[in-house]
Amino acid sequence: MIGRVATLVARTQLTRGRLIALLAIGGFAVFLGLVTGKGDSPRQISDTLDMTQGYGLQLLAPVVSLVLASAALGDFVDDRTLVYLWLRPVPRWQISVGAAIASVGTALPLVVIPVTLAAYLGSADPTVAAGAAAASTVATLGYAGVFLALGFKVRRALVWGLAYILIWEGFLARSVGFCAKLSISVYARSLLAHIADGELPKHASTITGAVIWPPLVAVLAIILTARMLQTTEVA
Amino acid sequence: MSDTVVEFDGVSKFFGGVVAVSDVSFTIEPGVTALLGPNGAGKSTVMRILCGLAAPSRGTVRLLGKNPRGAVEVFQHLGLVPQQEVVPEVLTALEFVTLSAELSKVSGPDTAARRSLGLVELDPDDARPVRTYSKGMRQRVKVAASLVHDPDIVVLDEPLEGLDPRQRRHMIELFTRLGEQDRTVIVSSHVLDEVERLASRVLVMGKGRLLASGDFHAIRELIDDRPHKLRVVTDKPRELAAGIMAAAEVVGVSIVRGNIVVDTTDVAVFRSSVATIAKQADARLMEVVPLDDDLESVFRYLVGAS
Repeated sequence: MIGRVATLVARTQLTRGRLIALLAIGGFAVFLGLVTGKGDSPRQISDTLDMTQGYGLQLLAPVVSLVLASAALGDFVDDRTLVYLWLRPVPRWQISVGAAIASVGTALPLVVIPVTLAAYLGSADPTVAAGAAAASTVATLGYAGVFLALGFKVRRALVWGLAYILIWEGFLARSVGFCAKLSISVYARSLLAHIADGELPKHASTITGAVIWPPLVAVLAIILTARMLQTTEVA
Repeated sequence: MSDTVVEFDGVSKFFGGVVAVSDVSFTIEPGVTALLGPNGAGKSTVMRILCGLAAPSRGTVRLLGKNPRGAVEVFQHLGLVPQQEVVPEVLTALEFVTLSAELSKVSGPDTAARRSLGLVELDPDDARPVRTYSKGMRQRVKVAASLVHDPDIVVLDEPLEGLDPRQRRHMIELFTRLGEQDRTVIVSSHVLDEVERLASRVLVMGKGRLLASGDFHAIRELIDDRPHKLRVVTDKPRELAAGIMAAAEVVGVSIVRGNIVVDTTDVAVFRSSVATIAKQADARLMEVVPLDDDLESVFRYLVGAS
């Protein structure tokens, strides 16, 4: 049943317009990698890490996850078609997990492939590409979970999500230690720095924390979404 | 053993300060039951509460003896045609109905979906996505999806909207047949004539309250027994009004903007007697028009009487 829900959600999420827009911002990451040019000098590696952190982990991963995950159940709420899923004898956790699988399944390739490719094109050091792949995967998992729940709970999830990305992840998490502990971006950037031996971000996490916390956040968000599905009033 | 399939006990629903449904109690047994009421009467809210889509603010609801907002297993026995027109638009009719069958754990979902689409006279092999369908076709897709798992309870919220006369007739036959198969079919409508053809039992709602319930014909009599308002246009309103006032079937007369407005308990008798009265008053009778021969006024009357 989870597979059927995931397939339906993925088909609904991936509209032509969204796909083109998301491919374009992914393509820009690859373009940046090409512009940086392949090299193994410390400067080149540092530039590639900066590009991966700044564009890949702080923009591409959260924005792609936001667009797709917030639409996963949000589209069904907005156009009032949730009733067709909700009124079937399907446990709510299966709907939530199906939507999460669809979100991760569609967002991961649109994030991980361009980020990894950009890192590979920009640096001859293979640990940079490996770090980019691992960090973008972890970031996408975490963001997809959070935005799945957000998309179900609030109207105009894109606006709220962008505010979260800019204010919390982009500003507060960089300056306030407590906020950094609750920042997916900090965990992802920490993981990249640990693997590629780069400069750790302020309030960095351990490598274990960076691997564990974002997926755990996603799991908690999926549980929360299932709970909201259970108690929601369906239009 | 009780035949009660649906039980509402003192159900109210508030949206902030707005009372959508107020202290409604009824039971529904197998067969076709119509929920009748004008727009805004609370029918859709009752339907949503009945299906578990909304929780009552007060009171209890039982569907096959269970809380519809509790275990999801109860949805195995329930099919709903919601009021909204939309269905997942990227799917074809067959994909949508097959998906509905799969989610309801029907064995052989493709076969069941084809059979269900056949019931509503849609082509299962139509490759167009549902978004290209007309309103009537979408309505039929929704009906097919609601029936694909062979439910014991079918809830239809304004199911005839958007259908052409032939399709309406076909759907009415289908719903009647389902009722004869001892299923519980609950249909909401604001069209009296449709309900008359569909259901023998009705629940009449207005302003969020249950105004009347029972056999359709008893309600119809109640409706027909209410005073009716007519406008009589004549060249001598004062003279004719004096004559009309003496008629036994007339309960009230007034003159509004030069026309006579008559309250009568029997329209047919009044129509036949008014010509004689006009002749006696030497008045020229130009028009006798009913002012309240619509469903809205029927409900207004029932709201006033309750």
